[in-house]
Amino acid sequence: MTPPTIPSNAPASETGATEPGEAAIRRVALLGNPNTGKTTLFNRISGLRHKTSNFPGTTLDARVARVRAGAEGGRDADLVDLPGVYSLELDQLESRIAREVLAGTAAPRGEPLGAPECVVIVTDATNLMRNLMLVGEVLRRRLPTVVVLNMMDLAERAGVAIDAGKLSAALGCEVVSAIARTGEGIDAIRRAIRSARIPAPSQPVPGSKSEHADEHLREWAETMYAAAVPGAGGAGADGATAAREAGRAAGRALSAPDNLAETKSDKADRVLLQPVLGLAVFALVMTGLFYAIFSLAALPMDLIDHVFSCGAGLAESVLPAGAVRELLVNGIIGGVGSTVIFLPQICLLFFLISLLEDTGYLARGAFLMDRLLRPFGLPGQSFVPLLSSHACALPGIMSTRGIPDQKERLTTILVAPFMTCSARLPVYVLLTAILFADKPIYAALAFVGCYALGIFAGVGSALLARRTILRGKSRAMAMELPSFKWPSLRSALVTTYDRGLTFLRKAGTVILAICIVLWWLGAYPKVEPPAAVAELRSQAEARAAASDKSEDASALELGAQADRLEASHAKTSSFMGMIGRTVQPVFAPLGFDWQLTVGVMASFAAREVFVSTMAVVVTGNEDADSDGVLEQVGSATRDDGATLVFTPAVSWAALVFFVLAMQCLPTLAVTAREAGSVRWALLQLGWMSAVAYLSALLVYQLMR
Amino acid sequence: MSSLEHADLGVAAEVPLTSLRAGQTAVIARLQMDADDSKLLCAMGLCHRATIRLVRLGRPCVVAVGGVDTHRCKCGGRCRIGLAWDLANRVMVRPSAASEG
Repeated sequence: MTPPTIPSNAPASETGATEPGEAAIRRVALLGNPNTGKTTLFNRISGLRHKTSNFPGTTLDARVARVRAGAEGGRDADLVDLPGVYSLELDQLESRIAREVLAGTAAPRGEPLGAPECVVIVTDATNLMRNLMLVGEVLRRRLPTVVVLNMMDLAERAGVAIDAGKLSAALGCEVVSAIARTGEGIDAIRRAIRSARIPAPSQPVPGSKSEHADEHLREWAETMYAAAVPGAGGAGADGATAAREAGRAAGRALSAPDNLAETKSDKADRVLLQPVLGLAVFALVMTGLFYAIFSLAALPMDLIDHVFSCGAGLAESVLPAGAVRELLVNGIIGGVGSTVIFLPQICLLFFLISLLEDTGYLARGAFLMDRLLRPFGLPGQSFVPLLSSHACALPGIMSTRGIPDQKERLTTILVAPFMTCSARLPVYVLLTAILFADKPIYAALAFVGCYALGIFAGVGSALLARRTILRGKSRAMAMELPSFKWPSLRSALVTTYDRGLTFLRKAGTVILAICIVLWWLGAYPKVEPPAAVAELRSQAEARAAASDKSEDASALELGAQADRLEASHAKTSSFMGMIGRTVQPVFAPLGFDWQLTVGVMASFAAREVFVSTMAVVVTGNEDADSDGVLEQVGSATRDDGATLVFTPAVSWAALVFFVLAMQCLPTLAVTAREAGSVRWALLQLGWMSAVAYLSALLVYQLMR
Repeated sequence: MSSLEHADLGVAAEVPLTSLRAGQTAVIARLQMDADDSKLLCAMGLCHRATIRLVRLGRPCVVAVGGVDTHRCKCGGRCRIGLAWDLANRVMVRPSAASEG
């Protein structure tokens, strides 16, 4: 059934506009000022049927959804959500991308180039004058255009009655009233897209090249605004000047209450933007947010862990012993499971941040933190990503999408992994336990010192990056502060789904491949166990045979010793072990022996692997939680049988190394994706490794 | 304070936005900054002849945008722009005589 076509607010014949024809609509661009409800509208139109990529060579999100724009059975159109812009003419990345997409010279990654057949401009009906300036800039481009008057309910409540029909006649294009938050007007927008037309050539839209272009554009916007306000008189294409004068007259006659009066939001801002009290409230809100993330994520994380454990157990019981089973259990299930376990944290983080952003509070937080971060070349919007990175750098880096400036966003991505993530904690526990075995206070202070060192290295690196490779004028902090309102649950859920899916895709592709490679390096080549293993096993069998008990304790202990020795031998003989021995001279100046070097190399995939790898290498027991294993690691000796692997100087050097080193392949994969190029991930790896190495070297040489 | 008549604004001297008191209204005279920043502020509604009220003086400065000339921006309290101090210092305004008392 063909959907009914509503009569347009102003027929093409009245305005001289040109209809493109339904079959021609293949791409629809969604454009608008920030805070006009554009994303809410996109989510309403697309539901969950959209994909997120970026614009080539940039870190800007590009969301594309398939929507029905033609007749029944016709081709669906791609709805492209462009970044929010105040103007198409600004020297900013968002404006440039929007300009290029409208010109057909840029498109989301994977999409063909070509100008859109329709542009939908979302305007805030409560702030129409300013929004009309963007409309004017789009109309100049002579593309079929639909103007959406969003938030009409708020406009009516504020006493603004906009005549969509008159505005349509004045602009020469479709104008649709909508309330994106409730879904009102969505069907009308779909229909308007189908009948969108090129605005009449006689539209007096000023050019962008003239000396007084901005002034002309504003005067044009005033005229259009006047045409849309009841009582201002009609404003056809030929009566712009008259309408403008009428509009001015109507404006003078307005007797609405002073729109500059103090609002409830202003009163709240007096407290929330205060340097001390505002920061205290912000700290409280952030603490609550992260407490909620950690506490609420614990159960689903346990559940995911359990599911993967069950999967591994099932594979072990069903499949015969061999390479395939090892690959599946240790490489694929173990590796991907250790990444997917962070999914609840990531989803909760984005859900809560989306809610917070929707309330309008996050814009205030960005201003509060701007003062603290600006001296280091970072904007206030970097705070949440850096704070999130203390849980895990993956969601932290993904949440940098809220940073408007490209260079500032790249800087934040590069330094985010310096923050102490939860995967470093087992390493800190091991090394501080070795350093301060019976001095918990000192161990706690060392822990705090590790966090402080990470933050110091992060902001220091940011400052260096902003003064060298990412040099550039900091974008002046000018931001709209939306009034406080209830957040949209639906919008938060869509954002969460979107980010969660992106993360899972990454876990299922790049991270899976990385896990398989690292498993292979650690598991091959297969070697015969040393003679001592066979000897221990025969002793265990002899003990068991001589004993009356079915499970003789000493026999079991001998068997366990044989297992540990075999595992340790296999690990040290593996490619990873060989690499460790080969690379050891590089780490020798840091005091690391080959065993510690194997631990460092293995933890390149993920830091938390360090403890279990050290347990395997020095004790043969993979379960680092086993009683006494940590003590055994701490008292392990080098090949000479006398020198400890972890002397105090080596332990301090290793601790500093792990605070600063980039040892998380999933993070590198996400950096490459979010920064738009592998070279940024390589730079991150190189810089963090160099800082970690040199700092650890300094510590070791000073303390040895 | 409630009056937005501009007849008496022409005589007031230009001063930086940061020299206003919280609650004071003014009209933007010019933006003393580079073209990029100026274009951005203008696109946000803070352009020449725009009527504003300083909501909060500090870091950040918060201004309410009241529209240009006689066209009042009826944003129902939604339209507030936060400006870093350095930026606000370069927005030159003519204070409204009506709001000075």
